[in-house]
Amino acid sequence: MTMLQVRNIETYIQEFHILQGVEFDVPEQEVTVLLGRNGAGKTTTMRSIMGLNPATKGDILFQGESIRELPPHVIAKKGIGYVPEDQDIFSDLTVQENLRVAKRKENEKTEEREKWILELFPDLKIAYTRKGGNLSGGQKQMLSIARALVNETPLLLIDEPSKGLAPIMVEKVMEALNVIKQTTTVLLVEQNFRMASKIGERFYILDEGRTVHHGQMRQLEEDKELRQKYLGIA
Amino acid sequence: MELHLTLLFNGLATGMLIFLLAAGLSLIFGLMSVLNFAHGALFMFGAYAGTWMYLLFGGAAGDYSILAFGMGLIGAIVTGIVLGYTVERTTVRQVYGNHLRQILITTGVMLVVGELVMLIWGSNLISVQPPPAISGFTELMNVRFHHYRIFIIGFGLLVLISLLLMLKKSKIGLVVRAGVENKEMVQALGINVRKIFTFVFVFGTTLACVGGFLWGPFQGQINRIWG
Repeated sequence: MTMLQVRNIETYIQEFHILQGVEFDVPEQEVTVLLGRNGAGKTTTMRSIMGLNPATKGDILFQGESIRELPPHVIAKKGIGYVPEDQDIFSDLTVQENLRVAKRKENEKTEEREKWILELFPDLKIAYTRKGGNLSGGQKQMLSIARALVNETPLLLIDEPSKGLAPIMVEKVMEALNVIKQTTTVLLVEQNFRMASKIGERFYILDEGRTVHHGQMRQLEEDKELRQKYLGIA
Repeated sequence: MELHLTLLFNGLATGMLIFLLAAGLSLIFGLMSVLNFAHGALFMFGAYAGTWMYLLFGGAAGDYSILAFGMGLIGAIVTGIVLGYTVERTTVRQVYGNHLRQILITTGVMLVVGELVMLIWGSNLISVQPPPAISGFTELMNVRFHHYRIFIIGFGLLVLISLLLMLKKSKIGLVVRAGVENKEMVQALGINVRKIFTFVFVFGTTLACVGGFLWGPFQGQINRIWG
């Protein structure tokens, strides 16, 4: 079953026509990766799905229901977790408070999820009472992912989780994503092809605001020419 | 020494009243980045509405009791809630993110509220005294500690502690603080920021109205030029 269907969306940011026909499917229980060079429209696609930069044309279906015209808080409540490119954790709040803000209900279920998250990210357990602004880059990324997962989240959108992280932290985040993907469908934007190819099952390549290629990640790993053409990597 | 103590005491009482006015203004600007030029007018409207209730109930009973004063306080709170909600929904909501328009529209609200006060209560000063239960003074070390001022300091401290507890400990306080930092992310977590904005605006207006009501007996009168 397809969890998310993005149908030919177009998005403007002020007068700039950023997305000019992005199309892809995110199947349930898989990791789908959006690839592309800088400025291809990957982040805008994620923001359009969340309603933060609403698409003006096309459609976005989540579990068969159109969410294109819904406000961001309603989209999130439907079960889409969002981990933005710059983490956007609340630096004045502690780790515990960041998680509490994210909880839509404070009940046994969310408490259990929090426990599971803290087991997944032991670094957060150690820094539980520390303010977000005092965390390392890796811990901020973990907190950002944790915050998106603290509620029941059938679909997780993650924008460049490895950006600016030390290699050891990239490994830790990757390990966590490998666990998360067993229970959650993931749409991942990632520049780090090595990481993307290890986690992802299928890929879509965006170029100048359009979907230009897609397939199984294995194919892309084997196709050096395609990688060179669209991603600029050998 | 007596002079210093008197000045300290009076300064604290005045400061608490200004705190009630400023806390609302600061919350509204801090979270919503709204330049609310009507805040003073809302403060004045609260003063008139609360005092009107106080004098109405106190005059009817003929004793201006603490109960009548309590009714005045409730009147100011209800006025703050109704006025804050109405102003936010009808005017301020339309101009989020645009400071120039905020200045223009809230200046308009200020003028309208000022005229409303004149229409309802007229342009004369209204004399008002604290209820007998918290009037008078206690003399210590040759310094007169007016009971009403003690009440104001206590009330202000109570509001301050409640506000701090709300912001630091409650879920809504955390959401408000998170919203100050990053409204967009708060929305992406499934929280309706507009509702939070309305809550904060109503809360800030209510603090101003309560401050206005308490200012009346402190000054001995309420005046239309306050706004």
